Amino acid sequence: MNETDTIHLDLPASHKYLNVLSGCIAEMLARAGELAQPDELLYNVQLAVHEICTNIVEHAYSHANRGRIKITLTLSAHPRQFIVDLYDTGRCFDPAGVPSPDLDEGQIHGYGLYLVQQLMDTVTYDPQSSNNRWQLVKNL
Amino acid sequence: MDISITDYRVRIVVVNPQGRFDAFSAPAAREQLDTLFGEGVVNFVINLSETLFMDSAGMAVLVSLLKRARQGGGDVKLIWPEKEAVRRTLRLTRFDRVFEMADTVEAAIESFRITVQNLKAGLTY
Repeated sequence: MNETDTIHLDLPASHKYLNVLSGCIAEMLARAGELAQPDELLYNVQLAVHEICTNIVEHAYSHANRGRIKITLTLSAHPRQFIVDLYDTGRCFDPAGVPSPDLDEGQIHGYGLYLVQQLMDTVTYDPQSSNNRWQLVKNL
Repeated sequence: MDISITDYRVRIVVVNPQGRFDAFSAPAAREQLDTLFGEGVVNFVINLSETLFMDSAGMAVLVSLLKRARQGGGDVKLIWPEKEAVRRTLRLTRFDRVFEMADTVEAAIESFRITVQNLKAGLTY
């Protein structure tokens, strides 16, 4: 892979379309050339992106009947990275307001962001009044 | 002659979430489990062997089930997924310490049986 490829998606903010995104991630990473532990890498990226989308559906758009998630998937050659940008126009989210899960006790909420942070190399969130952006980066 | 008879019966339900156990499928799973609770079931084996994908919503269903089951005097035991990536998620979140894990459904049911035998013998944990 010698160049940077980009795919843009615009999905309804609904749980039922999240596997469409997972399929697209799989097809793009299949074109990334040689990867160390490709199955593990794919699952980690799919789960992390899935968690962010779920967060957008349930928090950013919790007040709205319909919303959309715009996604940009970027396969970068130099440096070798897979970058996922997710944009929503819903309510801003405060990641700092989410406590880390108590892993020794088991709890009902709080695993989503924890998993994202564990599975990706870089996670950033830029809240804007009209266009929130998550960026997830996985080094290949 | 006085005869005292004590009949111990333990109902254990095995639940098999196959394929994706995520935010889309979690509400239906929760509804089915609520129905079982309504029938008085408190002992569950969740067979994750054929679970191919599990997110935090699926995990939330499991933790909620565990808390309710233990409050009712029961327990929830998990069967290890065959898919390594799902196993890794369970280890990452330490579910393998919060829940009792087993390799097979039979082993999980047997561990319930041993617990009941020990209770009958007056052993406590």
